[in-house]
Amino acid sequence: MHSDLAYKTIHELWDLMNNGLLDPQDILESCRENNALWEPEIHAFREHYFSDVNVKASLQFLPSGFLGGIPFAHKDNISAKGFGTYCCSKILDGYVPPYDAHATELLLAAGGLMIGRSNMDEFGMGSSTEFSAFGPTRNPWDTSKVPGGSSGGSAAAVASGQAVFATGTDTGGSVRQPAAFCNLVGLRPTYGRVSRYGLVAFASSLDQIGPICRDVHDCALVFSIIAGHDPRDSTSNPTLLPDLLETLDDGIEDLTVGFLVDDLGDAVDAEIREKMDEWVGFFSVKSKGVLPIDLGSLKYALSGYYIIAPSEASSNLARFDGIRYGPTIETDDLGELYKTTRAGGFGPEVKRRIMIGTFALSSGYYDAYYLRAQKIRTRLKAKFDEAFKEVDIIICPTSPEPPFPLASKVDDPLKMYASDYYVIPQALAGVPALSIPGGFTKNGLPIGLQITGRAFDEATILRAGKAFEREHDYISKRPKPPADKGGEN
Amino acid sequence: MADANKGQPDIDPSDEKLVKDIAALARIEIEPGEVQMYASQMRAILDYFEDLKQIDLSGIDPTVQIHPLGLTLEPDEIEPGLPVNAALNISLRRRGNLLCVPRIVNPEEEADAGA
Repeated sequence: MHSDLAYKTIHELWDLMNNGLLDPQDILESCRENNALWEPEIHAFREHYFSDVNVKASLQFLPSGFLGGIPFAHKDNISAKGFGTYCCSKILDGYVPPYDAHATELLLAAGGLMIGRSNMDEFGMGSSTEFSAFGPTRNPWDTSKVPGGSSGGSAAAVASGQAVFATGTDTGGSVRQPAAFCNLVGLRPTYGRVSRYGLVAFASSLDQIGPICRDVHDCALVFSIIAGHDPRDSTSNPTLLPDLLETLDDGIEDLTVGFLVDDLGDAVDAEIREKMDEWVGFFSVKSKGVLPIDLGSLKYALSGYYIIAPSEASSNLARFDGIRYGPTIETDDLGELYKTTRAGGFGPEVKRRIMIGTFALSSGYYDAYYLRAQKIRTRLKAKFDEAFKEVDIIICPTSPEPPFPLASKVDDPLKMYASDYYVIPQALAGVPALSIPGGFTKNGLPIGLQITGRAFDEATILRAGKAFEREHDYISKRPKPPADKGGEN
Repeated sequence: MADANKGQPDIDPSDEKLVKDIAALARIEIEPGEVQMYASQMRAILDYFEDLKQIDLSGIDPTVQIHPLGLTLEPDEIEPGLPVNAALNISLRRRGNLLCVPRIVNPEEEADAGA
């Protein structure tokens, strides 16, 4: 049956293709079948190209590269030449970039087949994909729940077998949390590893592009393709990337593992606390040893992030003024044109964050908010540096709670922001972190295990993830297709 | 650098005027019916940030670059620009070989500048 193929990993498909047992067209057909089945239920894409000539045109060039015609979902904020890149915002409606982002160039050059622009929270601002101007995405594991965000469309596309892998962007958890909510593997690379050239900026000192995949091996593979120095991004780091696949199966006997001790108390779901105990048990047996790690209050990190990211956003999004991009609401007065275009083009969360950022950067409040937040960031980085003198990796949950119901947090920004407790510190400190499937709740909802590493040491978190994955068969579980749910949803 | 707590004005984020002022600075039109919502949400968010003032951050420098690279410059080389047709094709409005944008100089300012 075709539809099963899209649930295979890249390396499994690659083996089949190399042995002449599979044509890339079959994989595309498989994704297409799953698209017909799932997409009306979950809305993973802002737009997809399954029935479009673009797919046929792309296929003319395939399969030649490393990804050999593997279909992937591309987040809507990563520029792709000739394809709409709207960041799921009305203010960029109709914008078609004339160039590819660095990550797009590399994925296409490797033979990847972009089959759609995945849905996302507008400009990456959100943790549930409910803040898309094009409607929310639903979680394939339970369509009454959110898929996480902001890369929720990417995660839902892979979880539903519409794509074999996807790109996401992680400013404050937007790759890892959706990966956790959809039983997938998501990597936030070290800041500077993946070029931001062609990524529509949200918060430039935090934004990173990362892969969302079915297993750790695929994640290492896709990350290896998109990473690398790019002079077009002045923050792109020239530190060489080692051969990640070479060390992937080396095990963790030589690693000291830290487990994060947090101050969140009842804010963390009891089933997730139980899982954390299980994970610590696993690592204490398999690794050199485990130690508790205290990074200070996660609440301070959350506050720091929600000052820095909106501040940068308020500056970055100033370019969307009705003159240069997207639709314009014309008035006789230029000031009015800016205000009415931006009011009509931005959704409520983006407006909220632009206003918080504008406030935090404004005269009289700068020292109390923005400057203080940047000091918190320095302090947090120092705490990570201290921790990594004692341990090689740090484990914690990816999210304090399992996937939550749609509409349960959209009107309460603080509740939504609290979903990000565990994924913010790594973003602020610029260190890499991997979310892998860590189990399920009693109700069958995915739980993510997060592994954080030293800056530029993705290799170690990937091999730790692989060691866990090898002994916990969570990745083979799939959400039930809509037709099989028998009225459950 | 001055300590963060020194000389800070008392703020009352519930002040609807403040929200209107911030919205004006951010160049976003807020409908009268939205002001109260944004005022109460911003109040809650800013109250949450109040905890930050409890931490002693003396002697800590603010982060400038998380993994310092220094100043990186691109080579000063001439590269081909975007072809005219590629630029025109992405424009929502054009006239001949020109991109059309709304008027960004008011007629009076234009007259003043010419005087």
